[in-house]
Amino acid sequence: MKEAFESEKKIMVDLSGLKYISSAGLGVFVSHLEEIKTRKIQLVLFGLSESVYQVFSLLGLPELIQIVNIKEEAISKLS
Amino acid sequence: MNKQLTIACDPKCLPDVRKFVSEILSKINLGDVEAHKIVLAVDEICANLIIHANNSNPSNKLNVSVDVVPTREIIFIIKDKGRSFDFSSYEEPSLDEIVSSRRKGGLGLMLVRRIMDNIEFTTEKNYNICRLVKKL
Repeated sequence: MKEAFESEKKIMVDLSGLKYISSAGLGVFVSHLEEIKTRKIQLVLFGLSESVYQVFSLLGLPELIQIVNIKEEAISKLS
Repeated sequence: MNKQLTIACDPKCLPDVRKFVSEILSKINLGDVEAHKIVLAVDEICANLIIHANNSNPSNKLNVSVDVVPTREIIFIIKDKGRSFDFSSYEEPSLDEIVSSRRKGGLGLMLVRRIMDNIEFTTEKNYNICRLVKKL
């Protein structure tokens, strides 16, 4: 992830295999949000389960990070 | 119904806490999303206590007690003997502050405050006691 944020301009992350996320996991995304803004990186997350999405929502992160349902939507957001 | 679990203050024991709480919640008629949030809140508190109050020292113990009052509330009591936490002086950072400082920490208690209906930290007889209440 760190390498991707340092070198890429378009990043999509498949979270379909993620059953649980804690503050430590959210922190990985949150700690890069400033860099995403300053480096004008496009980041899209997809494949979140309802439970994982709700955890992102608790902190209002869907307003700061693009989150879509499926890979095809993520690709179209980045194209 | 009261259930208890005692673990070593080792982050490797956190999955045991999540399993313990999940099993109790599976017997109550909560949706998966709600149960997931409650497990997360207890996990976050235990992680903070293990790492920050007990320096992840596995010789120290942490006890999690769960009381379910059917149709009313679930009460979690988490006890340890590490450094106490002064919740009254805790000021929640804004998400903007966390984002602009590019830090990874500070989100755990924010989550717990959004999930639980009441949070108290007290000290009694050398024990730090964290009491979390979730209304049903």
